[in-house]
Amino acid sequence: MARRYDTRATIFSPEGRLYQVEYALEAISHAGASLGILAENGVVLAGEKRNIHDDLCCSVSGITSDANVLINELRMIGQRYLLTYQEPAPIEYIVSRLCNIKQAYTQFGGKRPFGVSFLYMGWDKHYGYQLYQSDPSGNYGGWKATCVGHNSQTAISILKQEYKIGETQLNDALRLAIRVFSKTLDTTKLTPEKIEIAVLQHDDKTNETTIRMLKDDELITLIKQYEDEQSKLEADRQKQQQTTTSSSTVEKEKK
Amino acid sequence: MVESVIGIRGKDFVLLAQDANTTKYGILNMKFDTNRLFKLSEHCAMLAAGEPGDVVQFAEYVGKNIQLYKMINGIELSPYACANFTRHEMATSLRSRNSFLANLVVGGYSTNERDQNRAQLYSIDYLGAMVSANVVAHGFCQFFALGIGDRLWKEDLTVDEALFMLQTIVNELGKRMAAYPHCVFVRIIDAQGIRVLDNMYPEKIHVAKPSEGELQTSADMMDIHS
Repeated sequence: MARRYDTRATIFSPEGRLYQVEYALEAISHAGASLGILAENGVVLAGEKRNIHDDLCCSVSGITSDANVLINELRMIGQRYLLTYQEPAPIEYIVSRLCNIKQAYTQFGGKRPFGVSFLYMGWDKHYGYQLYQSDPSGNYGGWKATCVGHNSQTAISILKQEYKIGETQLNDALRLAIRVFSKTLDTTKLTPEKIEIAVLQHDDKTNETTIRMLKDDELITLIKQYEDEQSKLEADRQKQQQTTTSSSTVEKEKK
Repeated sequence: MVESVIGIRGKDFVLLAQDANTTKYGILNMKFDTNRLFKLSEHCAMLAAGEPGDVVQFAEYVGKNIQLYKMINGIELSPYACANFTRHEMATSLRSRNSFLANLVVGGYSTNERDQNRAQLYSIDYLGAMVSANVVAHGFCQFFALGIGDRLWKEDLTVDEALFMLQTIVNELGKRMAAYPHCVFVRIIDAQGIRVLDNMYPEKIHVAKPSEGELQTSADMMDIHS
């Protein structure tokens, strides 16, 4: 049924869908996961990180070669703005401009869309800390916490339950990130080699933004914290189970 | 050259003043209420003087582009960014077939709390050279404005002090410029936005009547009747 409408990216299907865009999104769902969480005092991004400029960095999910082209374009957008206005571009400006380019590939030119989704984390003087997601259709949105790539649906449902709006500080965000990853990565045990976490913070006094990767020992500490929490929860649960079973045996004896 | 545009930066405000004459052939005064102010955003404006057609063409182009930015991106450009954008356009057009003979003063108040200096003032000339200063001016009035500015400007200038400085400049222009400004339009830009203040006029110059003594010559003193 869909066969006739697959060949050209710029054609609508009878149901009003753009199949090439959907296929691109499908390609991304097989790629490595990226996770972004916005905190009151910083932003956390987990996944393959690429720097755009001093105040903006993004993580890539999807076809890496497509991503390289778009990363280059993002950097150019940032620099062109800096050349004209002599101040750093607002984050939404950069995201919006790139998404206009991505959208063009879904409407004309006869070329396929880019098979990449980005998660952007940045700081600007207009809106402070921001987290954006963009996808092959050219849509973008601002998020408090989101995930793209493999197992992203599971991750998002965990984030929906656990993320506290207005109350999440950076260390809460990091703990949440570890928690999400341990549940969605296809491995039994989480180790520093399997994840890459970057943190963005802006110092109001020096007016400088720092983007840094967490080092192995920091990751190990976070993972250990999570594992200790988990084992404590497990121990509590087991104790509860024992008390319920023992109370039921008491009742049986009474009978 | 005979058009005066002056900018004075004070504590949390910028004063923009312009003469209101349009002259022709160097001698005729066509208009006494010419507006040279072009609004760039709610807290930023530009005074432009020079070749009349170029001035309007360039100033409107820059002004409308800055408004377009606000519509597309939902945020206003800071005065610093507006001035740099203007300078960039001026420099680009200079290196192309269409250059503009327009000298500009860009002044504004930054609404972003993170900015160190909230009141910002820039001078951009027709070659795309931009400078930020406390007192800026273009045209022949530069000779007077900058000198008086040197004498009277101080840190944390109040509005009244700035108006006094401006009146001093205008008086001096009235006294010493052959084609002097009959009337100067004054606007202020501060946290509340752009407002128009009262017009400023050069003070009336009182010249002493020539003395009767000059009507006497040495010949008159000689008694020829006897």
